[in-house]
Amino acid sequence: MSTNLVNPDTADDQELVDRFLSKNRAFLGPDPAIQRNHHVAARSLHEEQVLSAGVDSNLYAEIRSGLRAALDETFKIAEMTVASPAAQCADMSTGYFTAAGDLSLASTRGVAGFTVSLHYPIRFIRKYFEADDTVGIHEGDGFLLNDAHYGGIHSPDQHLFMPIFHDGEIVSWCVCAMHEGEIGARVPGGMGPMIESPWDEGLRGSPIKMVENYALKTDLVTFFQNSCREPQTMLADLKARLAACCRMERRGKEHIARYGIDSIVGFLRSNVEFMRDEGRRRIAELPDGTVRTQFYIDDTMREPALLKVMYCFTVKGDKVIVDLRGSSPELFNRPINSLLSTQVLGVAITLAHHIWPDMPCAQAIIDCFEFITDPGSIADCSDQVPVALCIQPMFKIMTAAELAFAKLYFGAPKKYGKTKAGWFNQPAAIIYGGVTQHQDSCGNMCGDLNGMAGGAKCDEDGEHSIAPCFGANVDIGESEDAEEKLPFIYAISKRIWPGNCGFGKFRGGAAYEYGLMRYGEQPFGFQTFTGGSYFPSTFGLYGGYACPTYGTVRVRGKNLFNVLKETPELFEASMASIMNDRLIEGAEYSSHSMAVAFELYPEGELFMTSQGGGGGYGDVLDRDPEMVIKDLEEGLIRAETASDLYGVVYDAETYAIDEAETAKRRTEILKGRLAQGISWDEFMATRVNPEPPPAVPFFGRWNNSEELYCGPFGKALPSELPPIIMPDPKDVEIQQLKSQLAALQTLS
Amino acid sequence: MKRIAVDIGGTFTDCFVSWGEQFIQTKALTSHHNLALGFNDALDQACEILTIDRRQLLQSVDSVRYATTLGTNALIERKGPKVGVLITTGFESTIPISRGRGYCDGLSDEQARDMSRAKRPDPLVPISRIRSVKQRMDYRGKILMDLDEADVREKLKQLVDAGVQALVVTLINSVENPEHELRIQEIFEEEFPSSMLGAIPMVLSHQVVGRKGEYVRSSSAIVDAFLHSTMYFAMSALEQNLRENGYTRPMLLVHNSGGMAQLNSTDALKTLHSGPVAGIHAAGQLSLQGDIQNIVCGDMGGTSFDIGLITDGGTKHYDFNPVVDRWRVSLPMVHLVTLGAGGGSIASYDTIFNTVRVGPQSAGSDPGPACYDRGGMNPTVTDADLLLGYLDAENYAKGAIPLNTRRSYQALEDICDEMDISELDAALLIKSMADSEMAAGLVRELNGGGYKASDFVFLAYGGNGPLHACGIADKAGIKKILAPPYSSVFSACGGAGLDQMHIHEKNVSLGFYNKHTRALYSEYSAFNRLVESLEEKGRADLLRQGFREEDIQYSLELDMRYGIQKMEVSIELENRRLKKPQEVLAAIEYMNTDFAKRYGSEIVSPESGVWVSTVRVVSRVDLGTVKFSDLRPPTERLSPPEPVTYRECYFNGHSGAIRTPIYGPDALSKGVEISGPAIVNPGETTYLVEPGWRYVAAAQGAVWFICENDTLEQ
Repeated sequence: MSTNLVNPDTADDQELVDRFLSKNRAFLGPDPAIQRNHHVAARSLHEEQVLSAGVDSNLYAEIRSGLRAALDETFKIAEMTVASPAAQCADMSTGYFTAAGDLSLASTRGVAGFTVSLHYPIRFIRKYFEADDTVGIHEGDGFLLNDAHYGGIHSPDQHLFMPIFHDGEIVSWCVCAMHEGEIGARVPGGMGPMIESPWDEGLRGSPIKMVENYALKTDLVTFFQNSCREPQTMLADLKARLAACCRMERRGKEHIARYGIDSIVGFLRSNVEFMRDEGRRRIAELPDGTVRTQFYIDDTMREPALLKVMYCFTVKGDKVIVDLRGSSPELFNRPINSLLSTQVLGVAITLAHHIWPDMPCAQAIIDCFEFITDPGSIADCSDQVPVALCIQPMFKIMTAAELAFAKLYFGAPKKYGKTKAGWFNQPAAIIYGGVTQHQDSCGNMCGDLNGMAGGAKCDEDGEHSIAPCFGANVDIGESEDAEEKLPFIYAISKRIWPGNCGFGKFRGGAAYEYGLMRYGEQPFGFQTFTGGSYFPSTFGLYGGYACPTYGTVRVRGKNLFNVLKETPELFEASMASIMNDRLIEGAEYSSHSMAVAFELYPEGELFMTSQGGGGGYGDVLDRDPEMVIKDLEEGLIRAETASDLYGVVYDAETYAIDEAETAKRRTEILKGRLAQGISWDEFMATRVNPEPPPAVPFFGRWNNSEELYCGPFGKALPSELPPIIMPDPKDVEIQQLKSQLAALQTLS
Repeated sequence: MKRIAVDIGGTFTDCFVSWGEQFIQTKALTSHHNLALGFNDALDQACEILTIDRRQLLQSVDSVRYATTLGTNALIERKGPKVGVLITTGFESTIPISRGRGYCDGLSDEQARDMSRAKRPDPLVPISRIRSVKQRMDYRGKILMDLDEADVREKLKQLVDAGVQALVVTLINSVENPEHELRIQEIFEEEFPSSMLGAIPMVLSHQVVGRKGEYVRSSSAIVDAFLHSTMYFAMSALEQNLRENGYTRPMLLVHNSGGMAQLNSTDALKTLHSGPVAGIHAAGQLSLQGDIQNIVCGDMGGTSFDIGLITDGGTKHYDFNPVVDRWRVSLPMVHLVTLGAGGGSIASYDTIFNTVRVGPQSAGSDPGPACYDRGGMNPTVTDADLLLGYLDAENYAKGAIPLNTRRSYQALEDICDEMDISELDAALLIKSMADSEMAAGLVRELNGGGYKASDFVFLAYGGNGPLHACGIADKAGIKKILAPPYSSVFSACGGAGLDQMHIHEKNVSLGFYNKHTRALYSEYSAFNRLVESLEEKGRADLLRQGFREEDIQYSLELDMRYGIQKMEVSIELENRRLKKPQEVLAAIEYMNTDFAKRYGSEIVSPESGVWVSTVRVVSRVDLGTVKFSDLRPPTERLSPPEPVTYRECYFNGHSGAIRTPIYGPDALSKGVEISGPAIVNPGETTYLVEPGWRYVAAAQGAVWFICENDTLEQ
């Protein structure tokens, strides 16, 4: 390792200094040289020797088929044997990597995004542990990771890596990666609004050798179990990951025995290069240009705010520049900051699932992308801030990339995916925690998060709650199974509600609400951590509407099971009916943003939340009136939406459309739009303010300001940002109450 | 034994007649407008061989068994009644949401991962025909909210007014307590008596499925209701045809559970995929009678490659949440995996990896491969097979489809241009890729179950099975292949050997080992009462069909899992009653062993608790089976007959053309041994013996392919 800290006179001196420094490192923290580099590693000597002799792409295709079968086999093993509810719903992935850590092949099913960001820890392990006598890398070793600062997405995910050796040389790595959930954080499930520091995030597993000689180390396993709320789940999942890795390693070695080591090394590397080159070729097909998008995260998770996230995609030749400058500064004590590596991952996932769906999901496909950021911002945060909910800004860049490439491909001769509006993009899940009816301690989430709605397509409507924006073929699960294991009932189970989709010529998919009613007397509670209550989560395309806003609501202070039994007529399984009618006397009804901190709930209290819809495509006035009426009949929209927004005139009883009147009303709406139009100059003069509204806690660039606004903390240049420490909402509330009290006392 | 078994497929009606020592196989075109016509045609062909008339044949047989794709086709074509659904309040969107992943069910992995085109299939029940009713049970069956009967009557009226022709009632946790589902049925009968004209059938979810999972139970009940009338009328017409021709016994329908039952004891849902399942049953019989320990079945047709497993000398494997067409359902069905790989699979240039990709798109039979000369422009596996010399252009399908080689060459042009290779190299690549994909599918199935491919015999059947068998086996590491006897009607042959069988199961939550109390399960009486009640149901089914109680055999299966894991393992409890801790411990030990074998010893986790989630009783009556001859490779070998001709053929791993002998039907004589490369084409099937393989003809037209470096002994 060389350094610029000193300037010795000779090479020998340099070596001495390097040796001293490497032996006297206080902490092997995340290495920026690794973490900030998503590019494919250079060929190793072995890879160069093999590939310089020629690439047998047909042999490699046969190897690919065999190794993919092995990955699918091991994925199935892990999926069926894990205990984590999310992983049971396929929130996981398996993969083979090159010796240097580049992802070569991932399992067909599941969330390939997990494996896309795992080149970082492999490089870390090789750089720092391989030559370290106290650690080393040996056959049968397995390294566990869950700290996103070393790779991966966020701390509730856990990944196990196993090297594959041949003749004493590491020739590949295999990985089983998944969302574990509970990891002993301040709140159950490893994620939540109340995580206010990296030290609230629970176990911060830098790469740690958890497996030796193909066996889990009992002392470490016990430590991990002892540090979290779900010791049984932890054990079961460590075993599942190990079983999957052992099987992958064995299959890898069988392939080496069958095809020879050079063929396997050549395959693994060439697969990476094929993907890298194809990604570059596809970018080169696009016309040069820039697409800009901005999103707002509307909640810090403890208080409402407008946190700007800027995205500017520029295609130039066979390169893409992603400029994230102008995004909100990082928040020191809120969990929604994201690392640069997370943003990079978001782009790769979107391309693989939405734009180039025929391409495998790997970091190599965005090798030709470069990222520009303001370090210390919400899109490229420091190591000092919590990142447990980094998926908030990550999901935003996913939609940004989805929409940017929809536009970049507008005039392109060849499209690989179908053009569509934005997929819903928020983790709208209820995280639970406490003690179950089976006396198990727990803290996790069900598959309800996975029911995100699809955006409207260029030629048809989007699909109702169907799959998370980050992975295909992922399960939502069965409510009956969840009720069997956990102390609640689904008072509302995944029910689509009217108006919860982006309108347009083609509407986005609608999304469901759901409500959990506490059942049993054990201590047990809920929380949510989603945005989108004030500002739309995802956008429409070419005139289509964005996703409507939504919220979390609660009914407390009464045991609603008594209501179900004695006065069932007072209960309607609909969030709107419950909250609008408020029929249950004595109950406390409250509505909230989608970020509600963890609390325990006694039996019979009701906690309800919702997924958001997909964005719409095209002008609402171009929607076929028959399709509008079908939406109305299916309860996807309200009557006012059909008539006022879509401009459809129909008989309220028979739903028969009056075509002539519809055409007339639509013409009137068009005229009304024109009447509202103003010139560009007038718009700039009347609608553009030089500063953000004072009442809005705004974070990020305003107009073209060089400085970033920091909410109540003023503004500063990106290089001079102050640490933004938000006050505890309870302290704020106490202060307000004290002020009121003081005012009252003054009055009296 | 005198018996008739029929497999009514989409194109052909296959017929297998067991007539004492004589076995007859015939085929006729399926007559979709009246299935009886195709059946009679196939039967008449058999009668001609036996020199008897149809009535004589039907009066002599002990049973007529049907396996049919009728239900599958009706699902695919969406031909069925308007179904309406009543579901628990708050769960109205359960069916359209389909667990999210429902859009992927029935798709290839490649199609499933394309989120930009993600689209659910057209629903069997649209949102507008779903109504909720106010009621609620908890997970143990305790009533949390009483059934609102006025609400039920109103919703029933709404659905009937909307014109529904069949009704499904699917209430949450009804498998724990069916009281409300049954009460709704009573109310429906009160409001709309079944004696009235236009009576509507009602299906209760708990009567179709005994397991939890509200979506899969609902979709099962919906599929059942959707197929009910179609199947009932078609099968009744067939039964009527039998009656008119002198058959007096009950007609039997093959079930996808691997058994069969009378029409009046058959849910429509149980008939889906019954044909391929009967084929796997036949493989099981081969395994038992031929002492072949492990078989992996590969049925390669024009559009798909169906894989099934027989292990440990005849054990069939089951799926409990199989996908039928595009719907995930809940029922115990013989495990069957379908890959999109067949003769019609389309090959294309893979721009990412600079190679050829095969499938999952298929040219099907219309327009079919380019060489069919029916307008197909895409290159397919069959085109590659033709160019490599494996197929006889003049006599393909007994001459019914003349093949145009020029079209195959043209279809390959794009691939050749992209890859800068010759047409023959492209064809070799397509053959290799197709074989690799199918081999990977076989290996995935075997490895996933904890098995090694080299321990298995590959049973290759279907139109393209024996043609690609060596290539697939080579890549899968399998050393022995058996092309079975009666391979062209193999599924019908399987139907002839089925038992009368019924499966009844109950969702339970029994802690065989409770980690909190550290106690073993001890409520033996309750457990035994449950088993007795399930046996009683099976007994009632079989007694109703005229069997004697003493002929009924039962087996008891438990689905078990560790702690909070998802994976369940089915084990058989031989004693069928629990009396002491040793039996509980034995069940746990059996589970541990099975788990370790499948997933590795790392994963065995009894310490996290052991739970029984389903108790299942299989009730059956043994009705005898088809006795195959000794199918082992004969010890006495015959020299190959004189080749009919020679052709220039091309093989992977061999440069240039090889002059390959082509043999006719006489090569099927028992004991004939031929070293590859060679082609045997007796008319209906092409047997391709690739270099490195030997062909050995066994009894009854069965053929073995033996890898040259392997022995013949089983």
